[in-house]
Amino acid sequence: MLDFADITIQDLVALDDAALDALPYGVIGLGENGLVEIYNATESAAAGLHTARVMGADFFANIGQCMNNFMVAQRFEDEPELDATVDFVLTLRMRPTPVKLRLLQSEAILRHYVLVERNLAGPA
Amino acid sequence: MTAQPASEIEDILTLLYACPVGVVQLAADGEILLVNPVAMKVLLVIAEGGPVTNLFDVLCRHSTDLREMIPGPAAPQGTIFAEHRIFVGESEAAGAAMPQVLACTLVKLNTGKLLATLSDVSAQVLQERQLERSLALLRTVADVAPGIVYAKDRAGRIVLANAAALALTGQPWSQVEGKREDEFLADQRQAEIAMADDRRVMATGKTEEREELVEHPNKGQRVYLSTKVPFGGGDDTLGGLVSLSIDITERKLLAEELLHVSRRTAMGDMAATIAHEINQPLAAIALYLDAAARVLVHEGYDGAVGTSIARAKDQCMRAGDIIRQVRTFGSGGDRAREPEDLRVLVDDACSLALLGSRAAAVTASIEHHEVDILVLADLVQISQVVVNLVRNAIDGMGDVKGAAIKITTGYGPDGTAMVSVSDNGPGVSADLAGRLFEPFVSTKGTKGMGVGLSICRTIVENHGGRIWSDPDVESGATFRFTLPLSGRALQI
Repeated sequence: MLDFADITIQDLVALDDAALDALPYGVIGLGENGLVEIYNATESAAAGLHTARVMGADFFANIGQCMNNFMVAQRFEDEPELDATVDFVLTLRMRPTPVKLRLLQSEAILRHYVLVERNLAGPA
Repeated sequence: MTAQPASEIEDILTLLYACPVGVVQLAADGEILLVNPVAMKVLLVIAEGGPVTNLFDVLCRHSTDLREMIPGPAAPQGTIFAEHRIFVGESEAAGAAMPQVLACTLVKLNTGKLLATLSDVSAQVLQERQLERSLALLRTVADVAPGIVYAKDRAGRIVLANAAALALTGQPWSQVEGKREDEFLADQRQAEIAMADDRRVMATGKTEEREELVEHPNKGQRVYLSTKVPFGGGDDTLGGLVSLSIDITERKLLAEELLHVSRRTAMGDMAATIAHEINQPLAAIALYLDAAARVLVHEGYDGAVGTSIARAKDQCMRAGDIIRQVRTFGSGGDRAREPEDLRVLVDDACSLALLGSRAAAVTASIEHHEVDILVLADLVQISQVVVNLVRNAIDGMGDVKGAAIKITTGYGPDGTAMVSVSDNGPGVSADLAGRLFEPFVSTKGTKGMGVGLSICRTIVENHGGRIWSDPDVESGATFRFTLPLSGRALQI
């Protein structure tokens, strides 16, 4: 139920910090103004960034600039109801890292989420 | 070689990460090793959902010629290619086609790896296309313009020249583009004159119009009416000038010929009037001399008086012959009449008659019959009639507000060709209406000689036509004349 592909935005809101940290994929929760409110342990370990350094930062401007484009950031601007999975390549520290991103946003919930699944199976 | 400290590597990575140009480090086979967000953003779009692991694979989807440009293992280090454009596609933006184009530079590094930069040059390509279209439009307009058109930048270098201008220089565009006249014209004197004129216009910043005598390589000496207009550079500075020159050689010759014919016809008209007046007493003198001779014979007188009377009669007859010769000379003799297209004749004559500042204040319209009409006419003389009628109309309207002239071609009441010239001026006064076509009767008071309409009548009647003015004085003056049709049909 809490798999990358199945978890809902309501599930994410209901989970406490420990439960979020326990998830096997990265969870980034952003407030209305785009500031980081949730940065779970999985994402922190994979990106090499301490949660404390990231919290409160403008995510797309300062942390995930490679997602600051029409494929990710712009979709949160354009689609009030959003649940989309995107094949993406992160470029943190200039290293190309293929990932799946899940973008979640609902008008009923102030926070929106970016889920990051790494460790993808190799090319078929 | 000492290894770079980790902090320096971090700094370099941070710099490349934030670089606004796409930067990619590749293995020799194109595998992406390092990539910044700008490059990845571009690559994700053009990969169209496919894998983004090998740069060459992604780019070659859109640029097949790129595959041949990829360096082999033996390629030396350095730039392989620079700013190679890759056309990715075309999108619709605000109803216009928006090209999507990347510029790619590939450099081989000393490690054997490759460095690629990727820039989105779509906006630049769009601007280039717009500029190209504007230039093509400008060249087309220049080529269809009725004359020689060229443009120079502020340094006097040619930036535009139409086909007529190139024909005048005798050079192809490749030899003229970006050069001054003294760099491509053989005649340095003519080059210096042209350059000096254009420099003056650019220095004053004022439009100039004047006649120029130019030696054309194919047509010989020609007269051009040149208009030179300076244009702005977009930032309150001078951009250069545009020059339009129209060949007016034929028009000037026609004007001179018309003037000449006008003088000759006026003289002929006066000669006809004088001859008519003198012929009457001459005829009477001859009759009286005949009578005197008969009286002398009847009286049986045969002496010197009879001889003198006979000689006086001879001189009288000679005077009559001289007058006939003067009339023939004054009328210009019999000129060749050819089938002429009335539309062309009237258009050409009107363009001549409507020259000048007074005509500029008058709205002129020409309405031709829907079928082209061919008349048998002396082109110059009938042109003179049209010019006379139109100029009379312009002069007759004076300073009338909304002054307008209408010239119409069509068929007359008797099936002949007819030309009408109407104006909305004060019309012709009733006391003049009946005598308009007599010599020395003028509608212009003391300003006119009163021979124009008389000449018109002579010419038209010599052609077998008729000229008259409509009696309606309320709505301005209307003059009409007819001409016989030519038997030959127009080739359509």
